[in-house]
Amino acid sequence: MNVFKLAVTIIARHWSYLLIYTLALGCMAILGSGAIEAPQASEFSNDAPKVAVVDRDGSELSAALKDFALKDAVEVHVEDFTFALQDAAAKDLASYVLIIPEGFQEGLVEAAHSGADAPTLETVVSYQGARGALMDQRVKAYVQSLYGFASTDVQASAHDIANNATAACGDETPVELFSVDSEGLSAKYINFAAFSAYALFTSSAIFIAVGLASLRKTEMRRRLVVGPVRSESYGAQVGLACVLASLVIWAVIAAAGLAVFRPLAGGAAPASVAIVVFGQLGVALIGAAFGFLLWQLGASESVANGAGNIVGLACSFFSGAWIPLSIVGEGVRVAAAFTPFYWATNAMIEVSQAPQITSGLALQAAGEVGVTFLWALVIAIIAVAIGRVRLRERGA
Amino acid sequence: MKENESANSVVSVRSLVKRYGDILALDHFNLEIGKGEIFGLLGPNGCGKTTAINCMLQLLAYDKGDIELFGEAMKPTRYDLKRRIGVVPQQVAVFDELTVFENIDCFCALYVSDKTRRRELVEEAIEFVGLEDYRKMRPKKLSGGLLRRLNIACGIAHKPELIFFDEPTVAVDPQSRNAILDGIVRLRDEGATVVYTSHYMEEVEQICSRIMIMDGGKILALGTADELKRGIAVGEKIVIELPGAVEARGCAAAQTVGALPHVLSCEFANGELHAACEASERNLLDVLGALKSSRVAVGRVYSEPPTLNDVFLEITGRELRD
Repeated sequence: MNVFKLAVTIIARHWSYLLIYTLALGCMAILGSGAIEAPQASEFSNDAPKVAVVDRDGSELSAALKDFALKDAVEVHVEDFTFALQDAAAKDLASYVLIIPEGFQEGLVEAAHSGADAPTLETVVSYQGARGALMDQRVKAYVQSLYGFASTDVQASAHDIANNATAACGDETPVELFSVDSEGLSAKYINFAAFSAYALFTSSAIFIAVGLASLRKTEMRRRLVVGPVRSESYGAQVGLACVLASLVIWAVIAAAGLAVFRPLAGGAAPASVAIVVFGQLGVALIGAAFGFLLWQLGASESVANGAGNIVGLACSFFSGAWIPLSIVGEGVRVAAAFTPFYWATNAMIEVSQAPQITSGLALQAAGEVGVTFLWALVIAIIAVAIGRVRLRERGA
Repeated sequence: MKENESANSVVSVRSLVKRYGDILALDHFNLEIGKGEIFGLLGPNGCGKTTAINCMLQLLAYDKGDIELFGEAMKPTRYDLKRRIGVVPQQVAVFDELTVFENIDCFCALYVSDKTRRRELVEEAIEFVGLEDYRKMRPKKLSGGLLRRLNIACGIAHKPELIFFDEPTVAVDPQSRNAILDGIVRLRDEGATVVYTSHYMEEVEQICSRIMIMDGGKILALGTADELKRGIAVGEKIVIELPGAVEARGCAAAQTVGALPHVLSCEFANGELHAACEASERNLLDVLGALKSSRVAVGRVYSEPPTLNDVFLEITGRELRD
């Protein structure tokens, strides 16, 4: 085990990388996750967007539309000229600006009777938050109702059309909040686990690739290869040193998460905590395998730093650590399934959302975590193969 | 090859051929090194010295030939033979992350697993190369000469029977160079066999019991330093200062000396007359007599035997350091 001891020693001498990546990024993950609060309200209430309506028509239908838009909203008054309207949205003075054009009522009724398109509303939606976009959807739905009632009864007055549309769109879905005795994990802990994937991967990969760099120098390899150490044993011992380095990183980050977020004290099932912790281990081992690969490729210190960070960021993005995968496109979700952290994060989210950890769920999550371990194994095998090819090339 | 010669050989290489594509790096290379020898491989850069060593150490695959170390066929998996070998590479190969002691210990640990024994060996190696005061220092704090000494200590700490030194004195100050050369002789005295490659002729001549001169992957000459020098026509080199001699007069004097029967060549350059003579007891008297009869004023005169560079020059027609 002399090569193992040597490899561990020279990796450990690059402890500054532990400080930079493991501790700094680990702290970032803790602080970032600590800022995320789970919903605490006891009653449900609709979010009130800030809405400005400019009615240039002054008709009965436009008044009904204005009333509908301002219902459950905070009204904001803006001047009726282009710059002021755009400025209101840009500065987030209003989440949504609705301009009802002149001749709206007449145009809508005529269009409904003839089957033509309804008059277009001019709208400005704030890019900050989704409130404006949601309001836009509601307004469009209301205009569709107006159009529908106008087209079904050609004799109906504007008053009747408005009343019918308001009644149709006025129904609200009853919402009730209730709490469940859950064995799941806190949102903070799960967010930490997802964020920590970047720290685990990047730390392991860079710590190993940079730490082992001197073992790759030509003269050093020459000196080691002429020694009485079998090449298989040499590779295995270096590999073991990589695993040990990643275990240390995993232990630091996983322990920090358990100590800060105390998931077991919060009533989470030990099985769900185990899934998270083993998921983190899988990611750390992927980092170790990737660092081993970079080392076999002879990556310089700057290349190892760059590659470790870029791949770590990309993989954690695809795992849903930065943006929930539920709100990204289908293509991204499909691509994410072919990235290594996805499976670990998916398993963590599944156990965190389940009210109870059944054996079936535990097995499924363990299987997903197992996929993460397989990723590590595959990358390590590729690294070993590359190392052998390069060794043969040098010997040819 | 004589049978008894092969039986005593620590290194035996027969008809070794190594090609790099179309380039023939070793052309039917043969080598026999006996126990307790310091064997010098001499030749310009790219002559095949390092390739030959790499083949012997199984760091390079070769196209043809046989290599035996300690009387047994050397293969990449002969770890028992590798255990008896030490290598001091041309480039300093030590870990910047480790101290002097740790560096020597980690390489020694590849060969010796017993901790107590290893500690003794490491201490001996440190003492051998004179790094006692630098035990806890990292390599980056050592001078070039001390680094070279550390490089040597890492290769010899496990007390190998056969040691390959590949240009160990490149870029080393004279004091460290002498210490290194003395150390190699001491290793030989302690029973090790040494293969020493260099392009510094003086060093090779100083410590090697036999010398092989190589060029273009071929063996050009083999023997002791004296045997090699005796094998060439030049037996003595005479240098005479001609104070105040102008170019024309110096060239005329060179012509006069060059016409002497034992003088092989004579040139005038930088106010000095350089005469290469065959081995003869009267060379100096004849040359000075010729200059006196030509009424040429003579300054300092000195005579020296031929060097290995002269051997190389005569065999290849070019300087060793070209």
